[in-house]
Amino acid sequence: MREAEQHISDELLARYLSGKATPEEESAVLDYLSENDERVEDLLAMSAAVEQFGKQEVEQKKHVRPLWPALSAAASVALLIGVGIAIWHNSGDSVSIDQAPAYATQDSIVETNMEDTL
Amino acid sequence: MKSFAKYRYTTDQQFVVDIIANDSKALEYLLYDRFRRLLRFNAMKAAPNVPVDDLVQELYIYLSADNWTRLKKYDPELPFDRWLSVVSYRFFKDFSLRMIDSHRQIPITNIKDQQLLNAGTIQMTHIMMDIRQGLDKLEPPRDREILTALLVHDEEPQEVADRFKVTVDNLYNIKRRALAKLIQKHLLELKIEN
Repeated sequence: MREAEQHISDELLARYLSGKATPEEESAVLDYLSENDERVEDLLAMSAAVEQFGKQEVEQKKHVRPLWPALSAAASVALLIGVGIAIWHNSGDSVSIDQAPAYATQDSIVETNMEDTL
Repeated sequence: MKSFAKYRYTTDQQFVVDIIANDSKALEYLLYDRFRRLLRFNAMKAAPNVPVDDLVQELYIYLSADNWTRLKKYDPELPFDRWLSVVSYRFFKDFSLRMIDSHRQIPITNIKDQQLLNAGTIQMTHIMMDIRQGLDKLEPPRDREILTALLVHDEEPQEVADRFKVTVDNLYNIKRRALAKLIQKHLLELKIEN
């Protein structure tokens, strides 16, 4: 049985199913298929397996995302936070120097107010 | 539980190179993980009388025999899933025919396998429906009627040939031509679009 079908190799049938067979090869496959209806059903089953489970494979790949994009996103966020803290620290130092008299003034105002109250 | 994590993002073509370089674990990953469902469906469809696990194990031996001779015939230009589907289906069917002598009938008891078989069969039905719809629109009408008589109503070729006043040889030519149109339109073109 297997020997009788060898003139249409698995590779030729796979090329045909992939739409990559030459016109001569297509003709040979069609001769082979039309000899026996069961072969058409077999071809449909091979095709259905790829269509059904090939698609699931792609979907599965979509769901299982590689780790590196998540890691690079986390690294970007960490970098942004780091840069933000550094800027905040730098700007915080300069503000404290500039605003020192204002705090002193506020304190004195508070003290003055307290004295008034007493 | 085998760990196949390192293979998760390897391309099919690279797998073949790795396997031929004697990374047998890569083949295990392909057969038992990446294409597990495709192979189980093909096994149940092509060889319902043989346990699925036995068939996949036999396929492993077949592909690895003689220093991967069979696998070396794979053309990297082809999608690996199509190649594997054809190779496995035909191998399973051949194996099944050889096993028929033993009269073994193994019922499918695994619920997951039954669901898999149903999913594949539904997909097959969709493809057949596409082809049937194509058959309804097939031109010329004579080709349509002949193909319907032979494929759908399973009529005897001689009867159909007599009815259409052609020889049986001519009838086969018409069938072949009509089948080519149908498959081209409703199987191959759909695949290329996908």
